[in-house]
Amino acid sequence: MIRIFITDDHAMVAAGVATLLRDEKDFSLIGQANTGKEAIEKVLQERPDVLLLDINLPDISGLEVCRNVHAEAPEVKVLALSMLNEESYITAMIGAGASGYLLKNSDKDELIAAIRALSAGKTYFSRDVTDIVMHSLGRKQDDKTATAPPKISRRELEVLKLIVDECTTQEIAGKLFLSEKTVESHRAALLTKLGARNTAGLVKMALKWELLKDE
Amino acid sequence: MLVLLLAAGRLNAQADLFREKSFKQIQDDLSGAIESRDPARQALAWYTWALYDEQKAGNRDSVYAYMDKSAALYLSIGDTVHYYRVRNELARRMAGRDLTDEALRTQLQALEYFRRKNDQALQVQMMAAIYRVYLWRGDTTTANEWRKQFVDLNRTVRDTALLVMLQLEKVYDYQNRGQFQDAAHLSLLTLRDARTTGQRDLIAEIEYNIGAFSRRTGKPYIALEYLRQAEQSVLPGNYVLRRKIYRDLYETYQFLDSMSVAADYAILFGQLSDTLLVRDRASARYRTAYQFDAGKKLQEINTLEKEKKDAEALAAQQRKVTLAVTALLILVLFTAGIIVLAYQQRQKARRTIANQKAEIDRMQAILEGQESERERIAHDLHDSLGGLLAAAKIQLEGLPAKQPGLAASPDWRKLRDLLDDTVAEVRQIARNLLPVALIRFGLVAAIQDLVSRVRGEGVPPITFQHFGDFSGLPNMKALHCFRIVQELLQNSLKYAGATEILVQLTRTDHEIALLVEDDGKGFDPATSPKGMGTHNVAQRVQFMQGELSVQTAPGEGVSVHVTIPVANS
Repeated sequence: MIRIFITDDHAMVAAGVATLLRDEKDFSLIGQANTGKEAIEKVLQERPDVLLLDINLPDISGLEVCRNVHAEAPEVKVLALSMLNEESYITAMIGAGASGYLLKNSDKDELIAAIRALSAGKTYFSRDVTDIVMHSLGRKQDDKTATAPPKISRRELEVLKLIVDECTTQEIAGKLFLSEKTVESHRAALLTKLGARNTAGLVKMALKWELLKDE
Repeated sequence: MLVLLLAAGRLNAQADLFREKSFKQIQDDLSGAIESRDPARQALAWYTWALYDEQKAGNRDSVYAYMDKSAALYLSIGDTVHYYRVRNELARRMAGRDLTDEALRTQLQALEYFRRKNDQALQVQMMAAIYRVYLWRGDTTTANEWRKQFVDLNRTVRDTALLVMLQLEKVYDYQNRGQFQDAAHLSLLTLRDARTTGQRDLIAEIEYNIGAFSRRTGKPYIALEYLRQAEQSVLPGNYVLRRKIYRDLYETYQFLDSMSVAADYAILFGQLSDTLLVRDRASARYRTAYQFDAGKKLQEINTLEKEKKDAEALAAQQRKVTLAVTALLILVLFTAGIIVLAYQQRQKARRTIANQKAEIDRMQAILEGQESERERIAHDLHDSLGGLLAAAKIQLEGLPAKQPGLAASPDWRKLRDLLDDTVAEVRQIARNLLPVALIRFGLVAAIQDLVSRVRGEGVPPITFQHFGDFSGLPNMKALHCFRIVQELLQNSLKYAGATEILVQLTRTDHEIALLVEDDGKGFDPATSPKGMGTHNVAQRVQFMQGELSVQTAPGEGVSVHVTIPVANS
């Protein structure tokens, strides 16, 4: 028997979900809450197998509920059920300990499949969510390995070339028809991006990443 | 300068009397006297005319002619006292102009006459006058003999003016030895006596001395007081003393750093120096004429010249006045014009600043009002409409369980797809209205969401990178930054036809730099009209007092760089 708890501030949604799950013989809806605080209290008491959790709640955010529940009762699997398909929310929910993420317009079958997956200790994401998660994970991987230089913009590259040619800010501004302030801004960005502390460091990094090679 | 000191008391009083008369009155007096055929009256009138001429016009040479005429008239009626007095006055003046022989001859005649009359007072004055002429000539031995004589006689006469004059000699003695303090002190003691004589030139000379010596002994304020008194006392015709007074006033004011007053006196001094030069030239001519005794002809010429000169002087004065008034008027108008212009410009600048400020305030109100309205609508869409739609969708999903076979019905499927599209559409609208992640997760997350969302088929790869810490940004500022990136990114996607887009956020100590760069078509900034997007971006950048820099050319892509100042976090 899979014990399920629903948290949603819209009673209609909660009721609808309950209707959808009613036909599954091994599903048992053990309770529901309309606010975040109520959810934490009841879930920690009832310890369901799966918690269906909305992110937009009237008091505290679904993110906090998820974080709390995951810390206090890690055996409770959280399935986020939200209108939001933003990468930031999806990754934040995963970071808070959610095992699955469904959009609220998902089909009945997908909802049931997700609940089953989570109760079996797996994760479940609807297809568009999966795409977003993959992108995000790929990017994080890049950040760690850093085998490629950060992308240098065309204008930064022009500024960098002139810096390497020992031009002053004023000269660079004159040559590129930019204000000195803008040149300084590019220079600051280059220092930050390339992890250099001064002009010498910039030149060193430019050589390291072969940034000045003609394309 | 001693030469000028003495004058017969009564005549001097007369001289002061007519100082109050106008040129017209004196002219009338003279013509009246001539008409009356009364020689005494004529003599006095000519004498008065001479002194007037000396003091007002400063033309000392014509004075000789008039005094000569006056003396001759007194002689003709046998008034020898007045005859010698006028002669003495004449002699005194001539001695000052190096006509010392003529002067001495006259003075000796006069002295002889006063001895016969047993008039000791006039004898003393005459002897003092002779003394000064010898002194003037540089014959100190003879001068001292005369000095001894008049000093002895003055012990009985006690002529104050003479006593003062003797004191003044001591004063100049001190001066020559460089004892300025003693000189100033003695001058001060003498001043009271001098004032009782009522002889203004004498008083002025002593006042000037006190001032000049005080100046040299480092007492500029005392100097100023006495120099100003001297300026009041000195007779207008006494150019030599006036010139000295002006010079010392100029130097004293300069020393006291009152440059504008000093400049006034410098000008007066300069004008007087010019006058003296002109006078000297004129006097040389008259001296020659006098020595060759051109006589009555010269007088006639003098009178004619004088009339002509007076007329000219009057005309010149009128011209000067007219010129001065015109210049003043022009200056006033010019100044007024400048003031009005400056005022208008200031007003204009003030209005412009006020307008700009009002514009920024208005913009802020609009932007903030817009954003808060958007936020409200977005929340309503998300929470109320979104929730209801979700509920509807879930209810719809539950229907086939109650009515088997419904799942296969095309109507039900159509309804479900329609509902799906509606939910997606509402979500899209809400998201466009407000980046939900911005307030919760910050600018970087919101832009990350934006980039993830637009990524897809037919969209060029977008690189998003960010450097530095963007936490702690004020919500409005973060929102503006987000909107700027959103609009720039949309422009690149819509118009550029790019194969690659770079979005970059950099945070340094004092600024945020936003960069959106594509490798698309680019445009000619000179001809391309500003799109609505760019205009909105520019408005937001201006509102945050940042800088916007667009670098593009046809075929070279577009690179937009925005910097926004922020306080150190």
